[in-house]
Amino acid sequence: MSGNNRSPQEEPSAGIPEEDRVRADFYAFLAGLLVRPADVATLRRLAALKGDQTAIGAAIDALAAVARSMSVNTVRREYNDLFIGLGRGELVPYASFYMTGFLNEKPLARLRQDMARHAVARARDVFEPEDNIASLCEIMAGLIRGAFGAPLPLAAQREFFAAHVAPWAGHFFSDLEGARASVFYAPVGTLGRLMIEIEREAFRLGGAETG
Amino acid sequence: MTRKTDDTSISPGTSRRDLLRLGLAGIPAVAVGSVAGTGAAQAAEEVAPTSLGLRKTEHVLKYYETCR
Repeated sequence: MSGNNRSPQEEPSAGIPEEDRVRADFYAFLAGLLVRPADVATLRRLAALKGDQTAIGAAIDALAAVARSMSVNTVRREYNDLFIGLGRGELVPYASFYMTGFLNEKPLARLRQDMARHAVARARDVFEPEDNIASLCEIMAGLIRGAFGAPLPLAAQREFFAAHVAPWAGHFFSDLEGARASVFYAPVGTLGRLMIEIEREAFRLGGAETG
Repeated sequence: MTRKTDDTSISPGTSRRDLLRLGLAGIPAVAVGSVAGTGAAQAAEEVAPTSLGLRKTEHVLKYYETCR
């Protein structure tokens, strides 16, 4: 692999403002929770988390509580019921589906164009369409950190967010919070929804700032 | 969830950085390192379209399971 061919989590985020590093880390955190069911080590680490008085802190506490009380198998079953299912899960975590009602539609095509523009590619052994929520969170993390090249300027981050994340991710995370099968993933949905709300507001305020 | 509204309510002069600092303050530093990354995306090198065929996605594996 070439020097710039790294997955986002390997990328040191030196030189990136602290708030942006936290944003990137939080996106990566969400991606890690959504890409596959949590394993034993992840549940153990989540169980040790302590939140504070903020809304995000409360959701972190809720996540820690369910991580303490649930087994890996239960979480895996819940993940399957939510996202895989037989035919389909309770939720379909793809931008295309949320934005058009169908999978593999124009939103995916537009995302692929933008990924190519920013030199991001789907990893070789991954076959999921790129517009799933975990991939989009990971791409946001990578674009902020500069894992796919130089960190993306704020204006370009905003453009990517507005095109591929903002139109649907908030709805998806709300659905995840309220899904019938959600226990472990309910606080994950809360965290995602809060993140999208904060991002949306921050990008709105960031209009005058340069990246 | 009233606190969130407090966190993200905008007073004149609030900058993007202030808002992020406030809004994301509740994330414990250990939280973000507690989940392994996904590895689903990587920087592009050459994009070589590979032949497709049946892919063993989670859906396909689940289908196989139910057929047993």
